Amino acid sequence: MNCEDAREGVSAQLDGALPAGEREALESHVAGCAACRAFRVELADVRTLLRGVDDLDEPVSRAAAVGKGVLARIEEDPGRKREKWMVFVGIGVVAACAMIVAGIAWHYRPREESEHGPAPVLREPSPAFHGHLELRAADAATRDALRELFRQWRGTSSLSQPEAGPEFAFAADFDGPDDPAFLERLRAFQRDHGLSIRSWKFSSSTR
Amino acid sequence: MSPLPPGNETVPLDWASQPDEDHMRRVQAGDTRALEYLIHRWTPRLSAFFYRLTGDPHASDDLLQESFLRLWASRDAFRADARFSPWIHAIARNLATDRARSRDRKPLHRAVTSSGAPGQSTTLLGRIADSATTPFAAASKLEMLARLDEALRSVPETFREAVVLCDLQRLSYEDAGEVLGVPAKTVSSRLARGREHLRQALAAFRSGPIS
Ligand SMILES: [Zn+2]
Repeated sequence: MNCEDAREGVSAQLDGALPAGEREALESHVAGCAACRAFRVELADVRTLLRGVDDLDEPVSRAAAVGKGVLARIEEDPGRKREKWMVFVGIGVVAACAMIVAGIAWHYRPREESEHGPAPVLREPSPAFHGHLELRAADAATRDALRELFRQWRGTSSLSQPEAGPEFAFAADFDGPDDPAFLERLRAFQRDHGLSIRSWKFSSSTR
Repeated sequence: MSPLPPGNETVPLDWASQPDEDHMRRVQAGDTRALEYLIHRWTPRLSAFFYRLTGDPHASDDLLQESFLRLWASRDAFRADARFSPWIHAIARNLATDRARSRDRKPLHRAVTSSGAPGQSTTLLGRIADSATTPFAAASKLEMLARLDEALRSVPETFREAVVLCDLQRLSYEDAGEVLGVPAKTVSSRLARGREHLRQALAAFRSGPIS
């Protein structure tokens, strides 16, 4: 092994990336070469210096600004608008088909069902919103009040309420039209019941 | 109790403990919240990366946005077995390279002055962690950083990329190889050459105070 090979080996060795088969040759070269011994010490210093650089504490506001800029440009992307537009057309077509099917069903409805009125057509033509909420409350009344609040949700929802333990838990997955008023009611609920709420986990997405 | 923020854009608490790849799969499903989350997670690291590749602290805001837009545009190309870090670094590096080319082969690095007053200096490298004890520690941090900036700029680009990816961005040889499109063995030898350049450039500094 010559000095050039040895120096490459030293660099890899510092990263623990020296192939096992090369270790012996490297050590025997370094043992007999004062220059490479000194090199190893100096290179280790350089590596330590580099790896001590720590400038990752960017202000959060910067990431927020970048994120805002990116999302704005994604929103204005004509391809994406077309996608959305096509989704609406798609929903419209589905709704129209459903109404036709419902109309046919209504026309050919079994006699005994006549008093129940026409078959329901699509209740939510544009399910745009999905929300997920998990509550852990200190008392049953708070949990029950939240469950009650979900009666006002105009979309579909799946609610779950495990058996009461030391805390009263409640979870809801809900889909439907984007409804800022309902979300405002959730916020108000959280504010008003702050003292009885042990944890509140909320997430949502809009399509 | 944290209130619902305005705009109703909280994310589940357990996202913080999930790997980038999980969030990337959400992005693939069209979830822009996950994209925003990745932007928050990666802005500091990518910004440091651009800073060092371009030497221009003002270039990187724009490059950052562009990187995440490319990520979004090519989200379908992220394979099920891919790892996120080399992938986003490759996007970022390609952008920086394109940018440098479109500027008519102007040298990638601008001169960065290190003559600012202490505390105001805009050195290429940001800060050295307080815990770092190096033979350079006797010098003031600012001097040390200024010299490191300078030394790094003197390293030929091919070798500097390896140093930036492995020593500063902390990628493995394999991941850096994926970013650069070369085998890990090549990364190892480029990194060795880059460190050797730095060693020489820093030698004067190491043995005595800078003039
Ligand atoms: Zn030697």
